[in-house]
Amino acid sequence: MPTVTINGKVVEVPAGTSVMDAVFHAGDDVPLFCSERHLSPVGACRMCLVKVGSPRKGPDGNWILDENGAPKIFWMPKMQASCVTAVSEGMVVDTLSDEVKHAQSGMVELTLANHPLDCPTCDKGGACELQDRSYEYGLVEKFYQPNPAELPNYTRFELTRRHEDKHHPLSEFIVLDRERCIHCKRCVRYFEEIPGDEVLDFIERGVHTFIGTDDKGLPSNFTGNITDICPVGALLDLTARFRARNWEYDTTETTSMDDAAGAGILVDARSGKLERIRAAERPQTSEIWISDAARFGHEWVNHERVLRPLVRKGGKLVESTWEEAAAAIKAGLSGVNKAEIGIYLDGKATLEEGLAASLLADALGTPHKDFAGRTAALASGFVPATFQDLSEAQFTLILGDPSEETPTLHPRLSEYSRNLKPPTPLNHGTPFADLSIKERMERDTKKLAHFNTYPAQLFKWAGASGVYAPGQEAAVLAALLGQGEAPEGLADAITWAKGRWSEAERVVLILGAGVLGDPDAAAKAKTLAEQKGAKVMAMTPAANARGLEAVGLFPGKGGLGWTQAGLKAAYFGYLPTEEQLKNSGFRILHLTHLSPLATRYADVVLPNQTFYEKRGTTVNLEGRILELQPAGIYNGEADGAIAALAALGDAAGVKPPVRLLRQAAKLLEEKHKLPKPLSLWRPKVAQPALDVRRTAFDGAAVYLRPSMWRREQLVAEVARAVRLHVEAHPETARAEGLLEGATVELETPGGLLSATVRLDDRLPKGFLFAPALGPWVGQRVAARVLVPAGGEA
Amino acid sequence: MSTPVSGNPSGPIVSGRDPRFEKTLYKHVGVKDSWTLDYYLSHGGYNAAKKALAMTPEQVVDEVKKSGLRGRGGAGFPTGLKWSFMPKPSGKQHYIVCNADESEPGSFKDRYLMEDDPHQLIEGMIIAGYAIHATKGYIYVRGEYRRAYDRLIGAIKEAYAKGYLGQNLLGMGFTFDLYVHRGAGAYICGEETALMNSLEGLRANPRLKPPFPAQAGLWGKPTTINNVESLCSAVHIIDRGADWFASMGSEKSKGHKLYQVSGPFQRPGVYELPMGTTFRELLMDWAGGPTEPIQAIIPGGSSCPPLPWNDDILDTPMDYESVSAKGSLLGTGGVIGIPASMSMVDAMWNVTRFYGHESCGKCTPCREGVSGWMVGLFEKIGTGQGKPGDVELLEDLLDQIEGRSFCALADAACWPVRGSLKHFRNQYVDLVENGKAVERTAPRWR
Amino acid sequence: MGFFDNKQDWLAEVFSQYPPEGRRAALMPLLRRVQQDEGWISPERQEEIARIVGTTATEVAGVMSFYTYFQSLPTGKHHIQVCATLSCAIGGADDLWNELVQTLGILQGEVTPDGLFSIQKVECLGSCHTAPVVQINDEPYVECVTKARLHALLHGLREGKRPEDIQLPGKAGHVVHNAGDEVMA
Repeated sequence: MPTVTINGKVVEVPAGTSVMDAVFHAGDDVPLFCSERHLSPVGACRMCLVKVGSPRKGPDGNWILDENGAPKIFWMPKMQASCVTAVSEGMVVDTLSDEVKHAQSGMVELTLANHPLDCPTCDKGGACELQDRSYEYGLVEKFYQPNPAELPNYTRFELTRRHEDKHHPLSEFIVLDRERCIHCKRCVRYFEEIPGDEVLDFIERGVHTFIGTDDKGLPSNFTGNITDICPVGALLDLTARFRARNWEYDTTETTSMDDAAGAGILVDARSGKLERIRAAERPQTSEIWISDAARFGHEWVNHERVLRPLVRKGGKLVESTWEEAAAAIKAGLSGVNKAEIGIYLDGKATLEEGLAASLLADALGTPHKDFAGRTAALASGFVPATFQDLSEAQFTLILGDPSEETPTLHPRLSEYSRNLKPPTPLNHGTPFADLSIKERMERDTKKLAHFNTYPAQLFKWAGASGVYAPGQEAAVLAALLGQGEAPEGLADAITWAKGRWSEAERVVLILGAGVLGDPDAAAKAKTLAEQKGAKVMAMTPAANARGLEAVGLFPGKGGLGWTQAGLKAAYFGYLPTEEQLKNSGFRILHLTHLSPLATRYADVVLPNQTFYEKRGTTVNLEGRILELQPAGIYNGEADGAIAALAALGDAAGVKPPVRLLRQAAKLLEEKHKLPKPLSLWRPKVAQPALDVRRTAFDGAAVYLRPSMWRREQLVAEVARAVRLHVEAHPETARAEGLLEGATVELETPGGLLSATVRLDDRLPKGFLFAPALGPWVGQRVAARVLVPAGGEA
Repeated sequence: MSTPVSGNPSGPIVSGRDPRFEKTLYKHVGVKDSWTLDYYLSHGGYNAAKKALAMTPEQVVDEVKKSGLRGRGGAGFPTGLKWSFMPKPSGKQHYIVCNADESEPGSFKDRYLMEDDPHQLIEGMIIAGYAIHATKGYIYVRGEYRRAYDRLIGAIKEAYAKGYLGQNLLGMGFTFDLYVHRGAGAYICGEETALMNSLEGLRANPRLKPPFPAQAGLWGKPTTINNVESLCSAVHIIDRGADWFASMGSEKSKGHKLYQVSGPFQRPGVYELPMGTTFRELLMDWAGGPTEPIQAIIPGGSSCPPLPWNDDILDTPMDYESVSAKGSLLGTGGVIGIPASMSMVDAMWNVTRFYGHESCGKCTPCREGVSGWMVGLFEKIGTGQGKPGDVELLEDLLDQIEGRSFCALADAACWPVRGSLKHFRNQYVDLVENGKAVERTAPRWR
Repeated sequence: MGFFDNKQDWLAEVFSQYPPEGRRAALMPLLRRVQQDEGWISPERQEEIARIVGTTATEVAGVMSFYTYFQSLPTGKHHIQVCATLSCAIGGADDLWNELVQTLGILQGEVTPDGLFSIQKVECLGSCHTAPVVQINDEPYVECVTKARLHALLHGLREGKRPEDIQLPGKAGHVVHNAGDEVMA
């Protein structure tokens, strides 16, 4: 480890560290604009110039000494950009001399030269890197003034500033202010390096350079991250524009339940409303990147919430109190055998809620317990891989679509395909200028094979990839095991993948809901993994699948699962299908929002919390314990499943084993040995044999393909921005009478779905691909397409 | 009006009038059909390549090192040393790239090398490719040089057909493929890493160094990039020996050089002369002297600080060291004369506008400083809207930009302005103190 | 129909010049081909090129807009590029430009109503000794442009002649002095 001297302080840093990070590590500061964690350092903004000197060895191999006998320091003739200069043994760095300050203040002035002075109306104001650096490093006179605060902030630039488009929407979610852009290139590098979608670039050159796109609406699932990393207010989140000044937000760091990876998010609320979601830094899972669904899909939280319990009186749902609701539940349960009460939680329920549900079911003696999105083969049946395991794997095999099923995985796979290791944290955390990251790094396609039911985004990084028809998962896995013929067209890809799988020492298997939902395919996947000692990332539709399975929240012997129905009474923490509602007796729905189905069928509706409002614990696909913290969002009398289930227990005449979150937490700690947050938890879960029913249909089936969006998110602006498609092979479309571009309505388990027809000849024939928008990912249902009047293209 | 031959007849050759000096690089320029293979072969063509291929690559590098040849693209980095940075063969593809993106205002020497003697360049590419273990070469020719492109393509076709390029060329076991890639109008492509980005089909922003091209250049493979004149010089170094080359020029600047003259002179054009020839000999003898009073010369392309037109400067030998000593640079050897009837501020405004237009926009000092602020300030001063303090502001701006940019383009923009402020500050002061615009009264066009 | 649909052999030859990992290097040759044949590169052509070289339309626009030669707006049949850099400025490029503007009645970015001409100021073309210089489309330069030569050139172009076939009065072509002897290159 080289030893370097930063402004007189001696520190040791790993070889290859940038001078910038060495300065931070030593506790000093250096201003920057273009560097960003997890992105390649480029040395473009020139804000981080420092003086660098090094000792030299003479021809005899010994250090050249100065008059005091110490190694003589040879200063570089020019100041160096500290982000792109690597440390070397004995290096001396100066960030405080007048020469450096002159350069810093000069660069601030140049950066401000064409930057508009609209801070009072800029959303970034108060959280703007340029504002902060201008105050700290601008104006060279500051260093010679006793009262620098009394100096005005000014620039000698008195020419007309560059005028550009101030409101240039890049997509439905992101607006670009070209005047504010300081050309740090973070966003351009981000798109190339992280999602790998080169949909943003510099256009023109010199002082006329601006950011732009020619690809309509930034086609990528990861566009929003550029609003986080933009150092100024040039790229703004349209779902949160002009909502508040940065200092007015009440910010809560919590865990996103948008997918099973457990991304870290910051929830910005103001006056009881959720206004904005940003990525929190969470090195273990999401680093600093979240999907667009996790970021922009928040408007539903403030939108027409169920704020108070509703009880059906005289055929209508009437607003009431928890007490009245409890009485109504008690009345509804009278005469119902306790063992025939179903308890079904949402897949985003916390571990504490899961434990409460599981224990209550035990107390009731009912086997009918489950959570939405629980897969036929439990995720906990596989040895989980961590992101660290993934980064160390020599080969990874994917069956499914990470970009939609668990989008947080996509940026990590991007890191993986560029052979990057997760950065080593220094005193200040993640390095800001990691010199192992380069622009336009080659993607190592030898490390990835990818199979899916449609061409997935990540096929581009895979050495072999292929499309199989829904239902062929087991056949693909059989072929990979050498137990059968490869499905049509996949022979070469499977041979290659098989070869790589057997020659690599450390391998990871990533499985989507398509495999997990098919016991036969899942068993084969398990064999494949076990033969090799491979670890598995199970992309479950339920964010907390591993946690809820660990506390036993799946059907017991003879119990009905979350997709089945036929009980005398049931509690649902989510909206089940109409079929299920119709076939259930007394229906208690614990929801955040009403829907026509709920209004029609619910006997009691209890107001639920969104995951942004919950305190508790979740377990991600690595088996990592992650915390949820409640943000300051107004939700009326909403409460979580623990309270609702306690009411249910009381009504059923059973003492609820858990009434309070604290009890659940204590039980988890004592009985389940739950470790501290962020550590791994690998409890043994007995693997039940769960009954799976398959329906055969005539004609085309609707295949519910994964989508990062959930149905409840599609309200207000988000509903307008997210375009839903039903896709089919042209032949299938012709057989079904579907025209490209037509708007059609489809029946899906989550309700009617309105979508535009898109034809793609790479898709398997015989299926209409519709986004699942909920826990039904990978399922197939009979196609019932209704073409609305005038719905032709 | 001719000056005596300078130097000792037994010492190094430092004058075009020295009887021992003969034209080599430009010997065939202007001759009918000089670009054909037949013509080239009838004048000793491809002998040097044969000679080189009979040597070991190391011997070729050593010979070029010994000659003292320095890169003719402007920076003057020793060519042989550059070649020696290339790694040993390891199975990786190596590339030799010829930088024919001649874009520095005042430079036009490479153009005729390609138009009239393309085989000379091809031979130079073969020799360099052999020396650095490169089996593939690209000539990146600036997009506007249409005739040069046509002649190069024709010559390469001929060379392939007759076995001077391709598999086992000349029957000597060396395989070399050569391609021509056209630019499309961007000065920055003369910067070697920007050129590589441009060739790869990216925006021509300069790349970070390290890694240097010799480690990871074109498509990440070891690459050497040389100027057209450097590669052509290598042909004659191999053909006639390093000692012959080193017999010309001064101590640290060896060989012959293509000097260019533009501006109001009797015979503007390209002159092949030994290194160390004086400005006087070039401008007064060969170029026939000025056609109108000259106030300054830019000695080596527009990025070099202008020097005043006086006897001291005229008697300065044109080699890297002597021109540096006078506070300017030899650059590409493209001398531009600035007439006394043109304001120096006007000339520098033009040059600044050029660099502003050519700034790639990657780094702040160049984009905002050169392309934005400097251009704006010149516009202000030049149109008579300047005010006292603007000259000091300009000087301060130069301090903020120079030495702080990503590549040398911003420096290249600052140097001429700084030089003009050193020698002609009064012309700036006159404009800003009196709110005068630059005058363009002299009839410039017939 | 795509521009390159009937140019598959040409495409194959272009791609053969670059290694497999360097498909994108064909971007500039493809842009040039469209520019030469159509006088500008429309958004549709940009998308077509993006598909062929395997990148996005955005990347193509980023590269295209970087270079002076590629035009994002239609140009005239004869796109006249006037060098405006120092040596040409000393040689009177400003006056030449004004003459062009007045004669043709157009400014940069416009096309004459007959579709024949458009004009553009460009930076140094590398023919400083024969200033002032203009270039028509991708043709070899027209050098030492005097008033008489300019008008003869415009006249010839209007008559439908190719630039190199037009007889221009006065000192013709480009002149190189090679160690004292005046040589016509």
